[in-house]
Amino acid sequence: MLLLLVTAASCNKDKTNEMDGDWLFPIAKGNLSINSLSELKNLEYDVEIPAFSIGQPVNFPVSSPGLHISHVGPFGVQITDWLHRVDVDTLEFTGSLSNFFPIPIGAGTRVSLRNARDTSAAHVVGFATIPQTVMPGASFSFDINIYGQSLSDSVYFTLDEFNSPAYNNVVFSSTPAHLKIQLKVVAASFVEIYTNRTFTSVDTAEFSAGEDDNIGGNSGGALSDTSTSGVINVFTDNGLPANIYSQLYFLDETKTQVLDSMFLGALDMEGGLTDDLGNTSFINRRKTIIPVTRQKLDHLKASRYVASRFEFNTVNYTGLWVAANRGPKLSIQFTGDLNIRINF
Amino acid sequence: MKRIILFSAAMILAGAAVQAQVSIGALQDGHNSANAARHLPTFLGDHFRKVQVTVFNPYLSLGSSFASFEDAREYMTADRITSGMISNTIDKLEPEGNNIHGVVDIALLNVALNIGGSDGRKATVGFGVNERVEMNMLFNEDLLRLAWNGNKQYAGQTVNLMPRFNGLAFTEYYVAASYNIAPSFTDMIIKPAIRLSYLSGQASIQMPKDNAVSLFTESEGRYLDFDFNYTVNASMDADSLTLEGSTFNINEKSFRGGAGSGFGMDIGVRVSPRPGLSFNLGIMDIGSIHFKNGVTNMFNHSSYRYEGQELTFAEDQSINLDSLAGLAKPNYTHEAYTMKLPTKLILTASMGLGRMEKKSGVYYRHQLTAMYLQGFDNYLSSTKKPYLALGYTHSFNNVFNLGANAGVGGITGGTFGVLASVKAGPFCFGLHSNNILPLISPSSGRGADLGMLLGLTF
Repeated sequence: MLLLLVTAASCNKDKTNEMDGDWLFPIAKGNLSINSLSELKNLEYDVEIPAFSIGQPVNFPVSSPGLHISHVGPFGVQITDWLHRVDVDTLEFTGSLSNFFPIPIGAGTRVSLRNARDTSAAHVVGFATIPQTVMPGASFSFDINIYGQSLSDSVYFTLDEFNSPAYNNVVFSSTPAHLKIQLKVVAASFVEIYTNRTFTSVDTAEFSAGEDDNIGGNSGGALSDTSTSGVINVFTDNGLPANIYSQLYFLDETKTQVLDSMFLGALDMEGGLTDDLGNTSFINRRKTIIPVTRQKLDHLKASRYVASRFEFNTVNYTGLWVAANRGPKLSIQFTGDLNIRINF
Repeated sequence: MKRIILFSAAMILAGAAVQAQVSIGALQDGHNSANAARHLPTFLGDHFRKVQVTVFNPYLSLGSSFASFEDAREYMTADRITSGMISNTIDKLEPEGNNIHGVVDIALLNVALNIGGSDGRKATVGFGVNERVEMNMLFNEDLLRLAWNGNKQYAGQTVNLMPRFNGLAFTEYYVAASYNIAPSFTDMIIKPAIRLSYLSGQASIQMPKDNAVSLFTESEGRYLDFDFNYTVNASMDADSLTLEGSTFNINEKSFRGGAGSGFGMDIGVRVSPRPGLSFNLGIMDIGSIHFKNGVTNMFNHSSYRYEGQELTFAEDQSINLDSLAGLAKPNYTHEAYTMKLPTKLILTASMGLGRMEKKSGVYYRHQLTAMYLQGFDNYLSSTKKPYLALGYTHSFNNVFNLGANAGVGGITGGTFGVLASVKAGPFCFGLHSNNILPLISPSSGRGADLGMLLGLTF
């Protein structure tokens, strides 16, 4: 009856009516673990393989009955400057070998990923075999998955069983062959992170705050002139061995304009503690209260993307590194505690 | 679509309740025995010699258990509906069992014939066609408090949100009979009566009694626990209902009848120890309608904990904070269901004073009537809250009858009604009501009804 009365009464457009309520509700929640770190999702390396690494001088004619070299390299790269060790469940190993040498690279040559400088077979964690001869100027691309391996802070690339057919009076230039590598840690089971380091993880996701619900009414919906006051509560349970500063940026549909940010400054989440096996031994819990204005809600409703930036640091942790297995996580939850007054 | 609107309007505007469908205003008026017999078949054959015919006698009942007509007027005339007005109305609600209730009852054609006996009244038979629409909605105070004031007030608590709405539209085709048993050694007359109906269901919406949708709000709002346990049965002939998100869609409907069928029965017995004094006992609306055409069953029997949109912090995530509306989406089946009639027990007593005899028959200048009405469920026009009413009718030469009645209990709490009828030769015309309280005291009147008499007697 009340609804009918109000509905009937609201049919008079000359009148404005109000609805006033205090609402308490969860908005969003998520967990961030070592497998959420975007920095481990896109590790790119460019490795140059100069002529001398296959024993050939540059700018000088050389001839050979054919080359066969057990190991070209190793060429070492640091995975990141903050990672001491990572045990991967699944590692995506992709890349391309561009042959800028004046000689072909023969079939059977292997592009190998190693977890130590040592060139013994025991340290090969994955390899891609060239199936057909790569002619000068051509390239070979590969994409393989590697499972259940342990990597230290650096990885090493080699060309194993490098071979090339005979050649005569060939001049090697100073342009090296080029190995472009991308590593993506799809799932890790354990990491060790150096202490006193800082690293960041940034992601952008599509975002919608429900533009059709007519609350806010920027577009002239049935409900307009909504006034909102209250807070958004942010509950954080940080079991990761890192202090975290976070900010959420709400972007327009072009992703180029920041409409608003969630936190004033940044959300400060002190780190938890883990043992040597990477299990959480202490969770740092915190509740942060963010005042909400109508303007901020309007910005959220207008936003189409949200960029999350998490800055991790291991400052003030003791020892050389901290450990985390796949268990420790940062749990973050947003809840609304809002008074919503709608004029209609 | 117009029929839909009319149906809805009838259901909503009739969203009201006096003691709907049973009007003491009809029972206490000798001119109105045709409509009285539709409530209680023991009135069949009263106050006419041979034939009684009524055509298009409508009865409309409006009301609720909580909102007065003053409240309604305030909402309709206010320049601005404020949260204060809404709060005032909500404050009048009972914790449970708030009732919005209404009836549209149109007696299209009713014919009664007195046959046999030395005085021509030994037995009576009747037949007729009536159109009936009934609805009611029961809801808890918490439902509206939540809707208008938010869920924060219920932090740490579970509230039941499910209203119970029932609506039924049908046509009844009936035959009725009564028989006067007059033991030779006494003035007593015993009159059993029965009315049997074939019911053609046109439309219905049914929410079973055990329906529930509860919401638990964690004390800091970190999760909402929804517990769905509801079934909604609907039949609207060859069409369907759907519930999409928060929108309830009723597609184009045609109320041509035939959505369901069933049988109904009213039984009663009258004991008259002496002329002018009678006691009636009846049970009305026994039976049910089985709906099998255009049936939609919407149901959801599940629990869900909502903790917010899941964030993965992955590049390919799409975050939609408007995802809550889809939780209550029901499942659909199309199984036939049965809708019972709103069964009631009715007791009346009447005493006539000032016996007069005319060519057209016996009448009393003063007629006192008492009625006790008891429903067996809070469902359609039936309510478990008993209703007791008293009425007085003064007959001016059996041409002009004037009466008044007052009652307590039932849905609206208190009633005051009047009646007036004229009998000019074979023609009868009249108006009767159980409740005109809103006209006298809008702030306390929570329901109103009006019935019309239009008939011929020979």
